[in-house]
Amino acid sequence: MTDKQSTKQDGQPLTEATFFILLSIAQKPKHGYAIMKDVESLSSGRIKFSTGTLYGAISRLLEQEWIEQIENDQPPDAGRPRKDYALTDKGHSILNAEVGRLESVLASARLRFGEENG
Amino acid sequence: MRIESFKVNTRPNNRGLRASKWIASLLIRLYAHSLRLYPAAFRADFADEMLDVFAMTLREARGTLAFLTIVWREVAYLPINIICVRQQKSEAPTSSINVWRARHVTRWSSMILSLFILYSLINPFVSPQTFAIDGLRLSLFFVLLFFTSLSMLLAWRWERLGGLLTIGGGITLGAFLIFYIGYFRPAEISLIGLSFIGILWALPFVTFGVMFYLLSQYPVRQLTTL
Repeated sequence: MTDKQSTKQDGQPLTEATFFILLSIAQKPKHGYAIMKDVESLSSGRIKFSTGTLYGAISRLLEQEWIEQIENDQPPDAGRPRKDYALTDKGHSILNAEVGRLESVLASARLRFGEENG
Repeated sequence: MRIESFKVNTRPNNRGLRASKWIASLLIRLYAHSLRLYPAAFRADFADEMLDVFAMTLREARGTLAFLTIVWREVAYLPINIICVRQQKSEAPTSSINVWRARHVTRWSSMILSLFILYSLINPFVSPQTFAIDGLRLSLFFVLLFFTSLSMLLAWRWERLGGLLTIGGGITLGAFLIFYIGYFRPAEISLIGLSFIGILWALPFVTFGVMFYLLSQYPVRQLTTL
């Protein structure tokens, strides 16, 4: 799947892919492969990134300063230093805002279904 | 990109056969080459990691189908990923000033050209004797010229629409001239000369049209963020 440009600053909702990437690293920093696997798991297998799509999204999120790159202290067996990605404060607030938006959408839907059923 | 450092585990497991080692190595090499299509800055930042992740994904593949799915996903999304990354890099804040300059130059130079052409078109009607020579036969040419110049002025406000109309007008204008001169005065000019005249007339409009069309991809509000 591809990840289109998402511009939360313009008041637009985040794309699902961007949302899941941010959600994936919300708790602790992760490297690219871990993010890829986590997003697949979080989305119940609906979102499967190609490597290019994932790093295209990561590059954009870094540019927007929603995430940051940190060096991993424990190098993998290949010996090459691995880079992890973590949410910045800006990224946290974007993610929280999106969660709030989704909650409000869900609340509206529940209210409407409640009205219809009740 | 250090391709040699990848060790792909291709031992068969109880879920099915893994791809052979040489296929995995070949795919990683091909993937490494495909990364050259990305912009240099992007490659410098991510190529090694992408290669790592791709190798890990192949290593985790269970069975031929999973293997093929991974390869298919990479190949299918490669063009769009490259376009997205290139677009993203071209939209970097450092290019804003260039966009502003390009828009400024395009707008003003197209405005001068449009007004000059429109004035030249109105002038023969003011002085009928200058319009008399071939005037009626060339009326379609004048109409085309009028609307193409108008499209350029329109592009000041609606860049995409105006740009596309200007491109279309320019091409039609060039083609019309080639047809007109070739049909009515075939003996006077060679085919190369005809093409040259057609291109010469079409070129400024097509150039301005393309410029406006490209500029339409950059919002005007960037002007205020400089």
